[in-house]
Amino acid sequence: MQRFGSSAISNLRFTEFSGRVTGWTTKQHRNHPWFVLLLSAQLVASAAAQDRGPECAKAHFHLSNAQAAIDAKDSVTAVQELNQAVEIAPRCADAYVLLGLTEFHNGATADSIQHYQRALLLQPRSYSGHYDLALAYLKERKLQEARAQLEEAVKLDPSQADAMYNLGVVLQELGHPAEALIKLQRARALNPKRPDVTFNIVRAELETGQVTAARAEAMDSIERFGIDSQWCTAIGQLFLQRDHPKDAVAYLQQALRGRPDDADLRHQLAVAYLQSGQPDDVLLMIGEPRTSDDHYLRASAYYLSHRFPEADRESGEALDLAPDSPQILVLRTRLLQRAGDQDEALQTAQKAIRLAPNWDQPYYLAGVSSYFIRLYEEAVKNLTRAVELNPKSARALFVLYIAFANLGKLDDAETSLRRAIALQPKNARLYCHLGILLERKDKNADAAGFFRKAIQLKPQYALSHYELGKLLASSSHLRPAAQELEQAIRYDPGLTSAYYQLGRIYAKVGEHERSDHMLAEFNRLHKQDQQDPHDDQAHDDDAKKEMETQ
Amino acid sequence: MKITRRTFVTGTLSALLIPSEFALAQQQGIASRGVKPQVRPASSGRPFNARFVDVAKSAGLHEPTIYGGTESKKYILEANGCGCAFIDYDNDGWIDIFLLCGTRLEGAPGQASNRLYKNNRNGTFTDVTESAGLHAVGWANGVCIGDYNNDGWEDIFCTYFGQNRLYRNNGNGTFTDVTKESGLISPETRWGAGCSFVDYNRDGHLDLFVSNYVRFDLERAPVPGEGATCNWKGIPVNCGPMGLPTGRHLLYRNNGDGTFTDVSKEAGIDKATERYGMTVLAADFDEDGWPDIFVACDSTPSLLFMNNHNGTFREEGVVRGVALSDDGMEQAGMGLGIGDYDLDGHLDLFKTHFMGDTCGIYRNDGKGNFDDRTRTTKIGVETRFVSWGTGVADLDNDGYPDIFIVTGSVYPEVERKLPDYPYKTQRIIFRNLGNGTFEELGQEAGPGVTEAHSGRGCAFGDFDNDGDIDILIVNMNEPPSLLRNDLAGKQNWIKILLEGVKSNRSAIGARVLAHYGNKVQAQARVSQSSYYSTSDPRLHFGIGESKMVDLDIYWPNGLHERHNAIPANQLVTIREGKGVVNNKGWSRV
Repeated sequence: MQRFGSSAISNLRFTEFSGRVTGWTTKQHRNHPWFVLLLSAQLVASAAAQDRGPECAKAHFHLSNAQAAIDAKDSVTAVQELNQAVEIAPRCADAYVLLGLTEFHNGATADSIQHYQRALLLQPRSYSGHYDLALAYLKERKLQEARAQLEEAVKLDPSQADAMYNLGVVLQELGHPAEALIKLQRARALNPKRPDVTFNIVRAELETGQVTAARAEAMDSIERFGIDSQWCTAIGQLFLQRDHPKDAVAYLQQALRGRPDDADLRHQLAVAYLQSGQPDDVLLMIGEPRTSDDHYLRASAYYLSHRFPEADRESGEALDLAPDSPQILVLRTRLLQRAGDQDEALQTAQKAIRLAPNWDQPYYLAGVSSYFIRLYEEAVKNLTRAVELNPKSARALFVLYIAFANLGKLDDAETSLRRAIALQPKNARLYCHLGILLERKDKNADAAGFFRKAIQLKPQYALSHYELGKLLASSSHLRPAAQELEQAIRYDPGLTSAYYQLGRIYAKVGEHERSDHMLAEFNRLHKQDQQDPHDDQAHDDDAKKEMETQ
Repeated sequence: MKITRRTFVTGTLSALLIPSEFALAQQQGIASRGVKPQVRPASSGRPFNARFVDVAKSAGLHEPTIYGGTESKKYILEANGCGCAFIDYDNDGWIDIFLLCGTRLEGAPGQASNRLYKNNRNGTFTDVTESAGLHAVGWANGVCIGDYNNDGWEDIFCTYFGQNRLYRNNGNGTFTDVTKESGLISPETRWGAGCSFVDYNRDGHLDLFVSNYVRFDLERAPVPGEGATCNWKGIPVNCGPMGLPTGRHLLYRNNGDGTFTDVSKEAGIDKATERYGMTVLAADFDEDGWPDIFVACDSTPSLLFMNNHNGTFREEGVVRGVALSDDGMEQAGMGLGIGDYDLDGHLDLFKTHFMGDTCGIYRNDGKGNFDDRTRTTKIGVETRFVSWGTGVADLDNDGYPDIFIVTGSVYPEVERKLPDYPYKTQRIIFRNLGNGTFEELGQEAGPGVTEAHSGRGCAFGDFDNDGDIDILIVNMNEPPSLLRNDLAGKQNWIKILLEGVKSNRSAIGARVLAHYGNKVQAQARVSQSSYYSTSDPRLHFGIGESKMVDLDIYWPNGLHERHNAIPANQLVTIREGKGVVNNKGWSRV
C-alpha cells in the first residue's frame, strides 16, 4: 500500500480548503463541524493510490496525461483523460479512484461516489478506497454511509489517525458521543499533537456528561496548546455552548492574552462573564464603550446587576449606533417588560422578529408581552413559533402553557407543560404547575401525585406543599393537609396564604389556640404584604430567569 | 413593579399566571384576582323549565334608573349603582316595586327619583311615587325593608351618599320621611351602602345595620388616570375603591319608640375598620337563635359579625372562611345570596365579585363555619363578568335552589377601546343539578337572561302570584328589567309569609326548614340581600313532585314551631305562636 505522496494522486491539492485546518477555532465555523472533519480528511485524501497492475498499464498514457492535467490544475482535461482511461481499462481501480478524486475536487461528489464505489468493487480491501468514499459521503452529509466506510477503513488500517479521528467526529455527530470518545482517544494516541483531536475529546466528554474529565482534559492540554489562541477560543466557546461559562472564562481570557485586540473575542469573553454572573468584569473590561456591541454588553451587565436605569441608558446608546440590531432590540424588550411597558415591549419585539425572523428569542418575548396584555391568542402564536425555532426552550413552553391555560385550552396547556417537563424532568416547579393544571381539570388524584413528585424533587419548594395541603384540605384530609401546610410555612415563612389555610384547618380540628396564632400571623403578614410589596423573592427569581436567555 | 410573594403564590395557584400579571391587577382599583375559569363540564342535557322574559315595558316600568354618566364615569360614585325592592307596601297580597335611583354630577335630569310602583294585580304597575311621598333625588345606594315600628306596615330605609333616609309607612299608601325624628341624621357626609333591619338583641324591635363604602369627597376625589388605582387595562377610569379611605359601619339600636341610637362602639361593630362595606345580610348562621351579620366587602376581607347574645358582636369572617378567597386573597365582594344549595338544612352563602374572579359559594356546616365550594360546585366556570345582584332561589321549582346573577361593567368608556370588555353584559343562571354541582345556562333560560344590560341590584319575588319566582333588576341609565318567569311543567311549590308577634312583626331573622320528599331546605327571612336589595317577604320553596311539606320555623325571638303536612301550591301565612292564619289579600291570577 502506498501512503502519502506515493501515487499520482498524491499531488492533488485541494487548495480551496487550505488555511481552514484550524477552521474549528473560528466563530463562523462554530456550528459546522464538517470543517473539522473534512480538513483533516484532506490530509489523507491523496492516499488513494493503489498498485495499478497490468490492467492499468493499458491506460497508462491517459493516466499520465490526467496526472499532468491535475498538476496543471486543469481538472477538465484530467476528467477527460480519466474517462478515457476507464474506458480502455475498465478493471483499473486506480483510474476510478483518480476519477473520483478529481470529481470530488470539482464538486461533482455524486459522480465521485459512483467511481469510488466502482474502485472498491475492484479492490474491496483498499483502505484509501473506503476512506475516500467516506469523505465523499461526508461532503454529501451522508453520515451513516460515511461511518460505514470509515469503520471499514480503520479496520483495514487501525494506525490511521485521521480516519480514526474522522470516525470519532462522525460518531459524535450521529449522537454516539461515548463511542466517539473511544475513537478520538485512539486517534490522539496515534497522533498526540493535534489540537483538533483534543478539542473533540473535550467535546465528547462534555456530551457524555463527563464534565470533570472534560475540564481535566482541557486543563492538561493547555500546556501544549495554550499558546494557540484559536484553540483556547474554541475550548472556551465549547464550554460556553455547553453551559459552563465559568470554565469558558478561563480559556477565553487565555485566548485574549494572545489576541488582545480581537474585539470579537473580547465580546465572547464578555458573554461568558455575563453567563457566569460576573457583570462587573464586563464593565471593567469594556470601560470605554465605542461600538454598539460594547454598549450592548455593558447594558446586559447592568441588566444582570439589576441596575436598570444604567441598562436602559446603555442599551439606548447601543440602539442609536445599531438601530436594527435584533439582540439590542431583544434587550430593550426585556427592559421595557421589566418596566411594565408591555405595549412598547411588544412593538420592539415585533421589530426584532422582522429583523431576525428565525431567532426564537424575539418571538418568546413577544409572546410574553402579548400575554401580559392579555392577548392570549397572539401570545400563543408567538410562543408556538419560539418553540418551533427552539424546541428545547423549556421556558417558552412554560409560558405557552400559561397562555393556553388562560385561553381555557387546558389540553394544549398540558401538552406544552409536559413537553417542558420532558426537557427539564427534574424541575419541581413544572411538576407543581402540572398539578395545578390537573386540579383545574378536576383530576385531583393526579394533581396530588404531581405535587408529591415536585416535593420529592425539591422538598424545600414551598408551593408544592401548599398546593398539596390545600388539595388535601378540600377533601377533608385535615391532618395531612396541616402537615403539608406546616412544611410550606417551614420552607417559606413569608407564604401568607399558608397561614390562612392552616389557621382554618386548626380551627376545624378544634385547635383554637393554634388557629388564633396562625390567623394572627396571617393578618400580620397580610398587612406587611400590603405595606412592603418589595419583599419579594418571586421578583428576584423572575429577574434571574429573564437573564438566563441573554 | 410591585409584586408580593403572596400575590405570586396565590396567582400561581388559582390563576396560572406569572407575576407581572399581578402587578397589573394590583394597579386596578377593584380587587380582581385574574382567576381563570374551571373547565365547563358537558351539558347535562336536562330541560330547564323556567323561561324568563323581560316584561318591564308592558308592565309599565318605563323610567330609567339614572346613575352617573352614560359614556364614562368620572367617579366611582357614578359606577356602583343601586338596589331595588319587592315590597307589599299596601298589604294587598301583591308585591309592589320600589326602585332606587341616582343622579348625575352635572345635576339630576327630571325623571331622576326613587320610584314606587303599585302592583295592579294584572301584570302591570302604576307609578305612585309622588302620591306615596317617595320622590327623592340623590345618590341612593341600598334599600332594606322592615316593619321597624311593628305597626303591620313595611317601612323603607334607603342608604345614600349623603344622608340616609327612613320612610315610615303610614298604612294609607303614603310614607313619611322620619329620618330626623328617628335619630338617623348623620353629622357627616357618609357613603351609605348596604343596610339591614335586624333584631340583634331580640327585643322584638328591628334594629338597623348600615355599611359604609368609602369616605368620599367629591371636591378632593382623584379623577381617572390620576393614580395607580385609576387605570384599568391601561385605560384611565374612575378611581377606587382601593386608594380611597374606608367607611365605618354602623349599628343602630331601635329604642322601641320610633327612635334609634348608634351603638356601633358598644356593640363592637366599629372595631372592624379598613373595609369597603357593601351588601349586608343578617341571619342566624350558627343556628344559636341569634342573628349574625355578614357584610360583603369590596377589595377587602368581608365581615362576619357573630352575635354574642349580649348586645355585642365578634368579627370572625376570616376564621369562619367567608372573608377571603380560598387562597386568602381579598375579593371584590358586592352582592350576597343566601340559601341552602345542598339541602342539608343550613344557610349557605353566595357572594358576587369583579370580573376575572369567580363568584364564591360557601357551604355552612350549621355552626357558622364555611367552606369555599366554588370549585367543587362548578361555579368556578364563570369569570367573565362584573357580578352584582344575586339570589339563591329555586327558579324551576324542582326542589333544588338555583343561583341567579346580574352582571355589568363599571367602566362604560373601556369598551370603546377594548371591545372584549363590554359595559352591558348578560345575566347568569346556575341551575342546581341536585348533586352538589351547578350548570351555567344561557339562552335555554329565555331571552331575559341573555339580554345585555349594565345591571346592579335585583330582587326576587312572585309579582304575578303564579307560583314561581320572577326577578326585578336595576339597569344603569335604563329602565329596569322585570323578568317574568314563564315556568313550564307541573312542579309544586309553597310560599311562607311569617308574621312575628313577640318577634319583630316582619319576622326578619327567622329561619325556616321545609321538609319535602326526603329533602330539607333552609331559608331565612332577611331584610337585604342580592345587591343592596330586598326580595319578596314571602319565602318561596319549590318542592318538585312533593304534594305537601312539613315546616320547622325558628322565630327570631327563639321560639321553634313545627307545622306538618301543609299542602303544596299555596301561600301560607303563619303567625308566631298562633299557627296558620288567613292570608292578606292573596289571590291567584
